[in-house]
Amino acid sequence: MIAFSELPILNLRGKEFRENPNELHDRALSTGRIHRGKHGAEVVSYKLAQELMRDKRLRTNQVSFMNDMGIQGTLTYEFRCRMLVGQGFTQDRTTIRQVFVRHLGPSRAEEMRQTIRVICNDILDGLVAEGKTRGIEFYDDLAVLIPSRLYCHWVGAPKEDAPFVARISDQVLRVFTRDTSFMPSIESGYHELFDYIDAQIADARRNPQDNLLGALIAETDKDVWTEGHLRDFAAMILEASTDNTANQIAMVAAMVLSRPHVWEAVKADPELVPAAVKESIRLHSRSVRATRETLEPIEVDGISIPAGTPVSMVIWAAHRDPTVFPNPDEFDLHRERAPNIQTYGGGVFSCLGQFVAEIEMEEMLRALVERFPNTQMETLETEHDPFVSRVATMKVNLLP
Amino acid sequence: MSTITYISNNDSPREVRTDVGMSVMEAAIAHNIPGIIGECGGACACATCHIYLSSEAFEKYGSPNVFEKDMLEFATAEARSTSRLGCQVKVHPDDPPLTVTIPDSQ
Repeated sequence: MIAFSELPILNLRGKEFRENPNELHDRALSTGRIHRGKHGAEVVSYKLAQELMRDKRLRTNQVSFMNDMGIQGTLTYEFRCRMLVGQGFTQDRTTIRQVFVRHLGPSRAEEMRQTIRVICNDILDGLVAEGKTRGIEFYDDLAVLIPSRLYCHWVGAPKEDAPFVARISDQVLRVFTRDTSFMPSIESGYHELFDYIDAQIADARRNPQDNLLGALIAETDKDVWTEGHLRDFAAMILEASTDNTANQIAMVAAMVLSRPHVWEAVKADPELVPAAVKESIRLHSRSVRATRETLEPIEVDGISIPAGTPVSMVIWAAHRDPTVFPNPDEFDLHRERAPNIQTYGGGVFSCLGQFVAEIEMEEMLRALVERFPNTQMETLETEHDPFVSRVATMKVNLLP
Repeated sequence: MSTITYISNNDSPREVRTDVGMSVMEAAIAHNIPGIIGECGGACACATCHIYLSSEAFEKYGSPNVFEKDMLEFATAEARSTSRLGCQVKVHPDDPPLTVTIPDSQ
């Protein structure tokens, strides 16, 4: 047995990660399933990451990283501690997740497909009406409007609120960068977010509607969960569903448009859209890492890891693990026995919005294929930190 | 509409009607059936919706794929030859009534 502290340090978050992450991750994959990084354990193997994400001897490290940031006592801290990723394995947590399964589970998400299709086409109609189809900024002009308009639909807000929804989501999710210089902006963002949610809930109680917020209010009225849960999780849906989904929507389009053979294949057979979405996410996942910490000492591959150790599942590495994804650089629309991608995490901390998010990606791609089959991507620049990737600029010509 | 009957050692049998394309897990959560948790939401990622099918139903709905089998190894209760994850068993409206047994623990 080797003590974790005796392992050499492999830096998977430094200059090489910023400049050439794939080579770095491939090298890490070739030398072991788990490494000691500067900030705890770094798991690069797909299978080991999957095992550890469902291992109840580990939990998310949300509270620990916020303690390290020194932001105790802020609205941000208190709110994020109440979120599912801030909680341990409690009954309260299970109750909340079951509410989400009822309203955002796979079959409910599928029922939203037509609404999402209408939103995608309405956004494209707007761009055509404005004569704004060449040189569009794909993220700002299209991608971010899909989840933010869907959120407006869910809470009965006018679609004109979508830019506010998008801005707030982007602002508050900066907490995951762990960069304390963003804190004043993050904190003010949460204050704005809760003012907005309070107004939406009050309005929905005055004018009941058949939408997601109405369903969540009904859960409250039946005492399934509390008024506090309603407020928290209506806010959580806004922050989590917008910025993450919008970036992944743009990256899916980028991955497909940058490969003419894939674009042509999807145009020839739109039934390939779901496979194209999955493979795009595998090749460029919004999430770079899923983080946990050990609740007790664990042993992995003959290495003893003490309690309280941060453990990162390096999704970008796992998605290139050749034992699971042969020829990982290849965009393969027909991968056989491809397992779940890890973008949405795994185990009991899996993202509950994943079913809706993938339908948004599919419907965006389908709308492009059907309406703008000669679309071209002019430029693409992305940026990433150890936790998330985002689109910096992506200029696209929408061509019929 | 089809029906699913949930049997467990802890409660009397519960019969529910299911919507189009709803999984055994989603139908259980929608109707507050105790014993099926569905923590991951239906992504075949947590093994907390473990169920036992009858041999006939297992034949109809098929064997678990390699990923579901892998996940069943993590189930708390014993995995049997007719074990499935409820999130991976989709019930269609024209399916005959289905009876599933819920293990004692998830």
